[in-house]
Formats: sequence, C-alpha cells, structure tokens
Amino acid sequence: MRRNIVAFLRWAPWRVRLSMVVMGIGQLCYGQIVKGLVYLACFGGFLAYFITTGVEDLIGFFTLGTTQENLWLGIPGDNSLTMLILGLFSIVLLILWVVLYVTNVKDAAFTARQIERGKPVPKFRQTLQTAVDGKFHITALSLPVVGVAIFSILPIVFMICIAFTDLGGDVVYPKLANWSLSSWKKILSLGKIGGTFMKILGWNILWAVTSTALNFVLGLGMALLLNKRNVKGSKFWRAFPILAYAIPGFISMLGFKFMFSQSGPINYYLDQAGLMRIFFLTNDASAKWWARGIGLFVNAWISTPSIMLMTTGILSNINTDLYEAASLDGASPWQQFRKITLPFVVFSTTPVLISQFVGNFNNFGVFFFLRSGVISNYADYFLASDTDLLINWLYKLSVDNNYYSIGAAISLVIFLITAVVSLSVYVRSAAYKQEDTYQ
Amino acid sequence: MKKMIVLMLVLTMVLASFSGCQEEAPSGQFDTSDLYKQVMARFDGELEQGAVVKVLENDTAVELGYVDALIEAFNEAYQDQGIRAERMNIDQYSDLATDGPYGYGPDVWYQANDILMKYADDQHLLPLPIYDMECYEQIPQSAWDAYATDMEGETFYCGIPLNVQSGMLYYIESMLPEDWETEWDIDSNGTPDFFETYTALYAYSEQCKLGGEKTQYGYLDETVDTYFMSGYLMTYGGYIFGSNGTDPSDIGLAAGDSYKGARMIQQWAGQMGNTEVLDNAFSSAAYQYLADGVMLCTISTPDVSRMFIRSMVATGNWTEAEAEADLKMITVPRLPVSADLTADDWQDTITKMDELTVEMTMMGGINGYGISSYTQCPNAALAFVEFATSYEQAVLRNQYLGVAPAREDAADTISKTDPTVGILFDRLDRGLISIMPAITEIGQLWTPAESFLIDLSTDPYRAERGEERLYETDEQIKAGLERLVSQIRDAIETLA
Amino acid sequence: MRKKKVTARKMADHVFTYSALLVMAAVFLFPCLWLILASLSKTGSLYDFKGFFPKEFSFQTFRDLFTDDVNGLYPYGTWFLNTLYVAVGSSVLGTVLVLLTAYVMSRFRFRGRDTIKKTTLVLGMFPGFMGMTAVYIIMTQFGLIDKLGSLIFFYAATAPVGYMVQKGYFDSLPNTIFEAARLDGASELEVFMKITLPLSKPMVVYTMLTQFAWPWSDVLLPKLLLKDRQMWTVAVGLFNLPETHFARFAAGSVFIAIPIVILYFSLVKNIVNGLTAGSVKG
Repeated sequence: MRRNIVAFLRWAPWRVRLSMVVMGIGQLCYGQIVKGLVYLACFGGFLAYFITTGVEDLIGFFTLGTTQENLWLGIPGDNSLTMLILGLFSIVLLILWVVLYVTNVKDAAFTARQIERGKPVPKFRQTLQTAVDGKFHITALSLPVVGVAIFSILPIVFMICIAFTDLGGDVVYPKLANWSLSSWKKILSLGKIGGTFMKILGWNILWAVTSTALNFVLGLGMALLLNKRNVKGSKFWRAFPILAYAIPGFISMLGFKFMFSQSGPINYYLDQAGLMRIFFLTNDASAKWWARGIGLFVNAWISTPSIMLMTTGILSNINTDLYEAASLDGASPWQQFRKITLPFVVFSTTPVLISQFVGNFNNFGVFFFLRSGVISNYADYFLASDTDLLINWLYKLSVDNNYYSIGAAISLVIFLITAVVSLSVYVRSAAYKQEDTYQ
Repeated sequence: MKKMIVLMLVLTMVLASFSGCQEEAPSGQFDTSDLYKQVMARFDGELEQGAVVKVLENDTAVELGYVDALIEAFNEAYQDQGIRAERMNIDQYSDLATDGPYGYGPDVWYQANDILMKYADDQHLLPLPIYDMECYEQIPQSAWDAYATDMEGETFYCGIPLNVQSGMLYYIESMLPEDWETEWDIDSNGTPDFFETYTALYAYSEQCKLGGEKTQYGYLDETVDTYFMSGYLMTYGGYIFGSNGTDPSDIGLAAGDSYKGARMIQQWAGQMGNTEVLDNAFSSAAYQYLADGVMLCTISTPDVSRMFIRSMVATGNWTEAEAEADLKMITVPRLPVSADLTADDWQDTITKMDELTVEMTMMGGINGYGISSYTQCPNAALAFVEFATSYEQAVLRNQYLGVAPAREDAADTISKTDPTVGILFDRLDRGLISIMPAITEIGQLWTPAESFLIDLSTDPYRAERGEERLYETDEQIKAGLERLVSQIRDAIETLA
Repeated sequence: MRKKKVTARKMADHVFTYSALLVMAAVFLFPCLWLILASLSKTGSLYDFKGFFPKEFSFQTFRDLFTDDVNGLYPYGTWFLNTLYVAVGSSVLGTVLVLLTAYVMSRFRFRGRDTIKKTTLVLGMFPGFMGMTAVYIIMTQFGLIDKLGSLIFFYAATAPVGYMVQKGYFDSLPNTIFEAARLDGASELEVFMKITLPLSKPMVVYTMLTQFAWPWSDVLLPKLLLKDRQMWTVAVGLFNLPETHFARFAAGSVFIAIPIVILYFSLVKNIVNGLTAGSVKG
C-alpha cells in the first residue's frame, strides 16, 4: 500500500500534483473547465465551511459545550444538543471532503494516464455521459444515499451518541451535557428499570409473535375466502377490507378508543342490557387483558387488509396444475392447502413476515393511541403501563419525561436484539439466498 | 414582612436614581438588589420600535373571542408607540424548552402556574419587575407565590397572576328538586343543604338513585382526577411537596390522616356506581351530562363555565341568556370531621355544621402570563402583560370567560353583580386553596396519582365482579398512598 | 342419493362461505359507518349519543368544518390543502428516489451493495421517534421549522429505506429485455426511463400511493416541525381536537378518508400487483 503511494507520488505529473494541493486546479490545467470549476467550488465551499464554523463544530462534538448560558443575566453559552448534531455534521462533511479529494486526485491521474496513452482528454459532456451510463448506479444512488444519511442515519448516530452522555433529567438545556456512561450504569444496576424492562420485554415478544401470526392467518384466511370458486362478486366483498386499509391508521385507532371507552357505545349497550360495564381500556388491573386483546384486534383490523391483498396476488401465482394433480391423487382440500398453498405462501412471504414481525415488535401507534397517559401502578411498572411495548415505554421515558440518555441506551439494547434476530433469520431465509440464482 | 422589605428596597432604589448617585451597594441586602438590577436590566422601559409581541393564549379564550378583543384593544392603545401584538396560533401546550432556544415560541404566554413554572427552573421564563407594575399591589401575596422562584437566595417572580382557578360546584337551578325549600333547607339559608355538606349531598345522591328526581344522579364527578380529588387528602393533613411546595424530597400525599380523605373518594365512587367517572375523559362529558340532566351537580373550574352554557344551549332547552341565569357556580361543600359520608345524619351536619364538618381545602392554580427568555422585545412584551393584567381587562376577561380574577379591585367589582367570583378570592385569602407547587417535579405527580385514584375508585366494583378488594381497610389505603408516594419519588429520583 | 349429499355439502359450504363473508364485511364496515354517523351528530359532543347513534342528525358539522374555524383554532380547509401539498410533493420526490434505489439495487452488482442492503434492513428497526430530536435540530439549522417543505424533504429522503418491495418488482422483470436494449446502444439512463418505467406502471402507482397516504396519518413528526396551526397537517389538527369537538373529528376524518378510499379502490389492481411482486423476493 505504502509502496503504491510512493510510486504514485513519484510518477504524478505536475498537474496531478496541483490537484493534490488544491482540488480542481489540475483539471483546469488539463482544460476540463467545468469539472475543474466544480471541484474548485467544492474545495472552496469546504474550506470556507471549516474556517468559519467547521473546526469549531468539530471541537464542540468532543466538549459538548464549555460555558453555560445564563438566560436571566443574558450571558450567552453553549447548547449541547446542537453542538452534538453540528459536530456529527462536521464529521460527515470531513469524510465527504476526503472522499471527494481522493476522487479528485484519481480523476486527475486518470486524465494524465489518458494523455500518456495518447488518448484525448475527456470532455465534460463525456463525463456526464458516463454518469448516466457506465456509472449510472453511483449517480442514481447518490441522492438517495445523501437523503438517507442526513435524515435517517445521522439521527440514529445522534441517538447512539446520546446514550453515552448524561443528557436528560436535570441535564437539559441550558445546562451542559457531558460524555458519560451513567445511563448504562443505571440500566446494568437493574432495580426498577431492569424489572420493568423484563416485564415489558416479555409482553413485547408475546405481542409481536401473536399479532404477526394473527394478522397473517386472518389475512391469508380472507384471501382464501375471497378466492373460493363459489364466491360471487369477490370484488364487492373485497371492498370492505380495503376500506379499512385506506383510512389513516390513527383515525381508526382513535375511533376504537372512543368505542371502547367507559362512555362509549359498547359499554352503553352493556349497560342497557343490564350487564356490568367492562373496563376495556381503563387503567385498572382487570383491563390488562381486555386492553391487550383490543390492541391485537385493532392492529389486525388495520393490517390484515394489506396482507390479504398481498396473499391474493401470491395465490394467483400458484400453478393451478399442482392442484389438479393433487385432486387426481385424491388429496382433500385441507391436504392441498397444507401441502401446496401454505408452503408456497410462507416461502414467498418470509421477508415480509420478518418485516411484519419487526414492525409489530416496534408497533408504537396501537397503544399510544388506545391508552395514552396510562401508568400501571398496581404491578410496579416504572413509568409504563401493562400494555406498553418497549417502544411506548421509551417514548414515555425520553419524550414525556425527558430521560433522553436512558431512553437512548434502552433503545440501543432493543435495537441490538431485533437487529441480530431479524438479520440472522433474513440471511438464512431462502429468499435471500436465492436472490442471485433467480436472475 | 417580605413585601415591606421589598417596598423599602424599591423606594431606596427610586430615591437613589432620583438623586442621581450610582453608588456601589456596600453589603448584605444591597448585594441581592444588585442581582435584581442585573436580572432586570433588560426591562429598561424603552419600547422596541416596530416590535410585534407574539402572544400565546388559552384555547378557550381564543374560541370565545376574548383574545382577539384583547389584542385589538392593545394594538389600538399602543398604535402611536410603535409596537403591536399578534396572537400566536400554536398549540397552547407548546414546549418552550424545545422552541425557545431555536428562536421559535411565544414572547408572552398565558398558562396555569404549574405549566409556566416548569420552565422557570431552567430560566426559559424571565423574572419580571413586578414591584414596578401597576397590578402588584392589587394581587395577594399568595397568588404571587405561585410564580416565585429562587436564584442565589433571592426570590424572583416569573409570572403575573391573572386568575384564580380551583374547584367550584356547578349546578343548574331549574334542575333542583321541587321540594328543596321545604325538604332540603332546614337551616332556611336559601342554599340547598345538599350543597352545604358532602354528607347531605351523599344523602341526596342516594335519594336520586331511587328515582323520581329530575336528574338520574345527584353528584357525579371524575373521582380519578388528581386536581379535584387531592382536596380530600389535603383537608385531612396531606400535602404535595413540603416546605410550601418547594421541597420535592418531601412528598406528603400519605401524611397526616390523608387516608381518611382517600376513603371518602372511594365512598363516592361506590355511591355514584357509574364507571364513566373512572375515565379522565369524564371532565369533557360533564358539560353534556349536566345539561342533559344526568346529574344535578359536578365540580369544575370557573374557566369552563362557558362550556356548560354552550352544552345547555345545544340541547335546545335554554337560550344563551336563560342558560347564563340558570347555571350556578358555588363554593364546594364542607367535609365531615368523621371522614365518613354516611356516619352522621345529614340533618345534623347542617344544624351542627361547625362541630361536625370542616371546610374543604382544594387544590388550585393561578393562571397568568409569563415572558419567554428568548423574546427579542422584553419591554414591549412587558407592556402587553401590563395591559392585559389591567383592571379593565381583568373585568372584561371575566365577562367573556367567567374566570375569577386575581386582582382585588376587579374581584370586588365583579362580586357586586356576581357573588360567585368573590368566593374563590375569599377562599384563596383564607388559605383554603392550596396552590399547585411551582417546581418542575410537579410534573411527576399527575399520572401516578391518577393511577392510584383509578385503582381506589375501582375498588367498590371489585366485590361485585368477584375480585378481591384491595382497599378495604385503612391500612390498605395507607399502604396504597405510601406506594403512590414512593412511585412519585422514583419518577423524580431514579433517573435524575 | 349421492348427488343430494353433494349438494347438501355444497349448501353447507355456501352457507359457511357467505356467513364468513358477511362477518368480515360487518367487522370492517361497522367502525367506518359509526364514524360517518358520528360526523352527522348535531351537537358534536361524543357524549350526546345513544349507543352508536347520535341523538339528532345534522350536516352542520361538515359545514362548520370549512366555514367556521373557531377563530383560527381549527382551520380544516387550510390543513387539508397543506396535507395535499405535502402528500403530492413527497409522493413525486419520494417515488423517484425509491424507484432509483430499488432499480439500482436490483439490476447492478457493485461494491458496497451488500452493505447498503443490510444497512437499510437495520435502519428500519430503529424506533423512529428516538431520532426526532435530531431531525428537529437539523431542521432548525436549515431554517425549515414551520415550513411544509421540511416534511416533504423528510418523507422523500427517508423513503428509499423501504425500497425492498420495489426491488422485488424489478427483480421479476426479465433480464433479457434490458440486455437487448443495451445491445441496441441505449444508455443505462435511457434503459431506466424508456424501458423500465413503462413496464413498472403498477409499481410506480403503488409507490406513489403509499407515499401519498402517509402524510395523512403521521402525527408525531409534523407536530414537532410545524408550530403554527395554519401550517398543520390534517392528522396533527384532528389529533389535537378536544373531545368536546368529537363530531368535528369524525367529520374531518370522513372527509379525508373519502378521497383516499376512492384512490385505493380505483387503483386496487396496481396495489395487489405491487404488493405481490414486492413480497415474492426480498
């Protein structure tokens, strides 16, 4: 490696060397005006950024602020949160600069080699052409990657960083945060948080398994039902689940919340029938399984239609010859279902099942909308209710109660669990393995 | 006493500035006033020319048109002075700590004292030069205390009290039983006895259950609401935070004989026999139910009187004017010394009122204005607050919204035509309103307390559902309260 | 005899099938019907109902929805237009980004491809709101608070994470078509624009539809990024309606549900094709 670099340096013509000092100059000297100007502009932009704020931001990432703001006396100070984000941002830009710098040198070297070989210097139009042709994949991916990096990856990295600070609780702006392992110590010391974590984790797993299975079975059942040969007007019947599919989820969930509330219609009819009202979603020990059951039902109501639609399509892909052959062999409809339909559907939907499982594991909406603001005090839940999933608990900890770093640390733990489980299942799934053999 | 010292301080300062000598303060008290001067430096009285004060107000006040009237009046009054106000149309529970540092959020914010003061600890709200303000003298110290906060041993005030909030008993006069004057006014004082003591109200509610009255229930209320129900605990020795609500390490919900009060909440839940009250949504159902004649009375704060009137008008049985005349708002009944709603004859609680009953302490709040620390125009904002807390506006706000002003002069004026508003002022004066603590930790009270109250109020149903009762004995209730206290403590301390 | 038995079994099957269909229809229709009924309540309060039915019916709430914004507190019409703007914007921009990502991931083999695949899989597992603070601060730095553009950027930029369904579709297109086009001298861009896209109509429709539908139901992020009520989306506005305005909530919900339902119904074939193809392979 080092030898390569030394050799490269020895070989490099002066214009390439110029590019190594100031991005784009070499290209300009080769007569690649537009490209050179673009590189030069990037170089200038980066330089300007780092001189004005970049270096400061970078240092801020490590200190997280040195002077505390006093708002009453009007003494300005630092904001740890912003410094963390801007610090991360400057690191990203730094990496980007390095990448751009390397491509710039490589590009100049490429041109130099072209000249050595007596070929013409590539024109800007040609560069553009490679961008949309030979290097199409890079051009096409650059925008999505930048977007995802800023709005998806950066926030997650930010969250991971937060888990290693003492931010939250008393330490919020204008107070300054510090890098610290305190939240990990609190989690590992178990006690209140640990106990609640285990209790919620148990329910969370039960929920994810049950709701995924339930949604899948119901969705498949509906698809099979609508697919039956004796069903007339299946398009008409299919309209009803699609109706549920189309209504924004939070509306359905709030609607169900009202429906099952103490003053809601269901309790009204129970009352009219002379029966006792039921604590469906009330914060009472007896409501625990009612609320969980309603959660499962509401979740199924919202998600089965899409599974139904999906399996409908898959069912139509099954080769009908298989069924005919099976009929001739005397297989009952149930056997046909078990031996042909189910394996095919399960095989085709493994990746979807995994993402459904992960989605249900992290299903924030259902209990956020059905049972907001409930904390079960009868069973020693710490800032959580007995229906909360880990993600709801996280929300209560970090958003409602400002315990940012603890919340971040716990979400990191949860994430590790889900990521390891689903990645390993996914990598082993037939769909993943066969990806390349398909084409 | 404090007031005197402060007054003298102000006087000295004023004199000092008159004589033009800017001496260094030598010692002791003058150091603190130095701090005061530093903190108040930005209120130099120079109105920021061209400034637009962004005002975040209460949704109900917006809905009923008061806010637009207020802002219009302000803009008219200040049109020559180069400042204007504008309603900020954002969520009334906006988070100043999230918005402020990034340059968003209001300049002036109207909220309850507990919500505003949550932001004072971290200096998101500015301390205000209240001694120089016109309303200072008119507002009782107990109301100011709701906005007090300490910095380096000196007390600052981060809000201007505007109105007093606490539970009031609402009822509709035409829904009273026909025979109340003969059957339910044995002391002939013109107030139905069942609005005078809870024992009598319990007896009347039992009678309603038998049928034959105009309403299905006598008294219905959200027995799970911390704000209204904590009064039961506080009347018998409970409190929220020690040292006048400033010490979060001392949580007093289980202190004294508070369990006795808790037992009565449970008695009510059993008496009402309606599970709708176990849901915190009941408070908004109450408007409709009172108008529909589901219950005769309920307890709520004065600022929602318009909501009751609106529901009454919506039924079609009242016109706006009729509803206003028919809806009554009076002081809450007295509680039995025995702490048992069925122990005494209700007649005795009326005839031997002083002996058998005590006045109920209720939790209350002081709604008022705060000024954001992030404001670019503190002087204009202050001018707006001065304007909005003036006597005229306090009276006008009452006319629009029915709220009880914290200003003595305004309360006096209104009391002349509407005695109910004076009640709250009087109760505040006599210490019967326990103001919500002005510290951040108060935020950890509500949810655990509500959970406990739900658990407690559900208990009467457990027996009929074949479950084991959890709060049958005093010991169990005491243990429940202790558990509540430790939960609040956990929430405050575990992760802090 | 035998024939009779068969018909009896057929009858039983019919009865079972249609009763199951009826149950299904009822379960899905009923809550929707209830919302529609509720939106027609005269007083507007949730507590003025007899069971599922309002005591008195009136179209007043629908009229109020657009004519009476209660002094600017509930400007439903503005919310509707805001959401439409965000939905269309993020649908167009997001679809372009998703399709590009999916297409490249499906057709090209390059260094880092496997990393991208696994990263996106993992990204979907992070609880979204944990990053919300960061998104908020990023938006403040870009000066995008209270601007509908912030939502469009966010929805469009994060859309490629869910490229799997689209990739599955592109996988199912026969490779020979592309190779033939390349042999004819078409550039990759031309292949994508002139061959892939026309062949992928159901996928494009499906992607646009899912992108379009999301802004109508997202509450948390818009609540954080949009402060002014005039800037809110329908979801934020409806979510913040107090219980005393239940009929308004119901009417507002029904009103936004109608166009989305019509869209779904008219495009159901594309949705089925899209979902199916996407699921078949990862």
